[in-house]
Amino acid sequence: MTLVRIGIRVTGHLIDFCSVEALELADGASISDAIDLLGIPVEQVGLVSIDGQAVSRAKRDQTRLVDGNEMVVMAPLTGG
Amino acid sequence: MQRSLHMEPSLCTGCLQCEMACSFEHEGEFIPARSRIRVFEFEHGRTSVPYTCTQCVEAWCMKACPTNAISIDSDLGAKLVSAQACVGCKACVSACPFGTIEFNPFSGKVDKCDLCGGDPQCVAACPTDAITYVDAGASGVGRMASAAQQINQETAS
Amino acid sequence: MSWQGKILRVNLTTHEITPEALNMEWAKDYIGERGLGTKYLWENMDPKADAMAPDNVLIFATGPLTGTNASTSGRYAVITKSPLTGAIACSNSGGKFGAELKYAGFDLLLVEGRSENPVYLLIEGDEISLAPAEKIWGKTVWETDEWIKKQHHNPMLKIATIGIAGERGARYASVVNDLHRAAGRSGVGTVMGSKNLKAVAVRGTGGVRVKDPKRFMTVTQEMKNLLAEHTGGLTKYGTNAMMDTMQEFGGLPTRNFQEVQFEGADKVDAKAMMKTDDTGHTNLLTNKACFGCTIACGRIAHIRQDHFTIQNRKEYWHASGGLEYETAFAFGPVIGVDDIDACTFAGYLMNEHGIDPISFGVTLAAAMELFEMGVITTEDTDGVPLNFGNAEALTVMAEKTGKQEGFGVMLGLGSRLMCEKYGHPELSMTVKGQEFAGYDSRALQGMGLGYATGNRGACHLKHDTFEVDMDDQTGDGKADPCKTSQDWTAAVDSSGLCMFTMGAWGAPEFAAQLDADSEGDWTAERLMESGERIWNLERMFNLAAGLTKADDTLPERLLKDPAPSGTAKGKVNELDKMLPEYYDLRGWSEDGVPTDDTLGRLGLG
Repeated sequence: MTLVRIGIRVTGHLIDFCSVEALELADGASISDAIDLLGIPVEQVGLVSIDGQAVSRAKRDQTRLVDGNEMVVMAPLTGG
Repeated sequence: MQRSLHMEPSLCTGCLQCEMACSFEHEGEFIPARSRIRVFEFEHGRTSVPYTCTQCVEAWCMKACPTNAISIDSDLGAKLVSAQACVGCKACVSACPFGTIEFNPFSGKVDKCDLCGGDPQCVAACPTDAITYVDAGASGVGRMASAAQQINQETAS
Repeated sequence: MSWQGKILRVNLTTHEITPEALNMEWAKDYIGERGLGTKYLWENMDPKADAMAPDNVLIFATGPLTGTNASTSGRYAVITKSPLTGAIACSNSGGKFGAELKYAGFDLLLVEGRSENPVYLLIEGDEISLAPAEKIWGKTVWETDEWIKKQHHNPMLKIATIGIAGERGARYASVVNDLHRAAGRSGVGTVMGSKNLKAVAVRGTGGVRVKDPKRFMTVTQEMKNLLAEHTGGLTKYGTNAMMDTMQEFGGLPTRNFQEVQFEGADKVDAKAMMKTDDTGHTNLLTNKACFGCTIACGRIAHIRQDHFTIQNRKEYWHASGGLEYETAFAFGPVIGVDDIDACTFAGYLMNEHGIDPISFGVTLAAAMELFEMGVITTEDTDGVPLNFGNAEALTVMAEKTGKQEGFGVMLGLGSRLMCEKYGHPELSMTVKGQEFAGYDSRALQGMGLGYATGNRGACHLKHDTFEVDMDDQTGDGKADPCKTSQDWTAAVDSSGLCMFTMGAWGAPEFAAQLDADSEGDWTAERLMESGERIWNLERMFNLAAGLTKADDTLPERLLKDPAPSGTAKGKVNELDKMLPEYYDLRGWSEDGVPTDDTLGRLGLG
């Protein structure tokens, strides 16, 4: 089984759920799979970007991760 | 087991939920001016300290009272004011070195913490456990534990 | 019921102080605080009056839930006509002053006219007077707070006051209560100064009753539990937890909005506040709550004593209010500064002198761009080089603006007037003359629509389109969430509770608490309808004051210069597409004027 290795960054309070900086997944894994693996509750995810490109919530399931991707999981925004 | 209110200022955020809970319990409305517990802020809010009567075993208020209106609830260890016997002379107010017994202009009697009959509402209302109702003989154990942890980390590294 | 049923009318010209019954019909339609204050403003002044004239009215308004044990029940609002925008001003604050005013028995304080000599209003239980303020005129917020408490031997007094900036007419002076909580925006402190009113000091020894105590205690406890589940991040990291999210997202306005990401962001974000440096110093000391709040997102911080700003100024070695997201943005990225202690010190000065940090930082950003273009030189700026990234320029200019000295007087005009004076109006990042908060409209499209149509000018707190803006970076379908959240925020801002609960509570949660608290039948629908009525009344005030559709716009930079990086790289704000759709949804004409049907439906006809 070939592995996909991606870089991880999280923002805001998500650091309390996940502080890893890299992740290995089975080839063909999606963004949603990665979020589950990282242990971040889905409702706590504001936005995910891959290599700087925003990926909307609807597309998380079918967006395949590729080796070397930089994935950023951003906390939801509120006022302040 | 006799319990006492334990204050942990480092956990207090100054939200005053305790003042509202205490006043609601005794007055039926939110009126912090009549709360028996008060929170004091120091250095622009760097620290907030909740404070109320600590139920002295030999109580100045009790000794000073000319009508024996203040008695001890032996189970709780709380000093309770009898509204009937209190004549509003305020001797107890000047006798208490902590300022935690106060004249109530509306009732003409004095108010002090009565531990809510064993279920202190300030403890129930506090969102951060800055006030807890613990074994009176071991209220310092929490601090001892964190001190011990400090030593543990130093020796371990 | 949870209104006290009483307002206090203070005429500063005649020094008459008159308690009046609260108009309960208005309370039913406008709830309280922002809504009720707007209605009283509408009924008591001509919107065309000059904001600095005696006939401008200044209102301090609490909500029906202010002073109860519902979480975040410490909010109050200052409502008036703004000298910065010429539109309605509605600045919300926390701390303990709002609850105290309610405990003194008043839902609202209405101040009109102008006092010949400086005065302050003193409310001690039922003893109310206007006292001479000569001894504290020219004094800072912190000195005033201390002096008044000592003068009346009453440490329990809660004080809302202006600093020197408000006395001397800086356009965006704030009203600061409890030392470091502020009704910050739109120059509400400037209006207070124009009336020669230095401070309002209140000790309230009364209480607040609720309609159905038993139900109220049950409902508020459930709501506190719900809140605790959703606001852990806010409690631990404070609002500045958003800095690194905005940086990664690419919506963090940098160097006067020329860029949307800042290389120094990680030096001034929430984690930087919590980091211990090599000398053992940590900026953040603890979190702090406003009255009644179980989130406690407030920050208390201190500055390294060997830092250039305070190394020989011992009087600033004490702790005070720490950085919020907006102050970190205004002292950091928008002017290119990454020195967290300098930013923190600038925050101290804002509270001490009573200035809106957002308007100050974004005005300084425009001045720095003018300086880098060579339009202004050190001759104009008292010898201080205004390069982006210059931390010393930040704190020197913060103090000058606070005391209205030297170039600080120019900065005190606000960026719209300042940039016009120097022939570069396009560099002013404002709407209706009020400076932007820390969200770039090219990355957050619906936010841009909210900035453009906000009744008090550019502001990030009167709508909530974050979720849809993060998930979809086009202008499609943003008009509805913007309009709906504007109406909803107006209702929340009128309840006495804080909008930071909106992540956990929706309309039903607010309605449940308000209905157990206040007379009348409060449902989610009725709250939304009140919100829409409040929004439209604010719009009517602005239209009567002379604002038009032309004011519902954004600076060219956000409409024409694409975002240079981040997830919204290459995008501009699509206001032209969103605005017509928004007017239509609002039931307004193409010129942005509420139609008779809309006014009739809302009872504003």
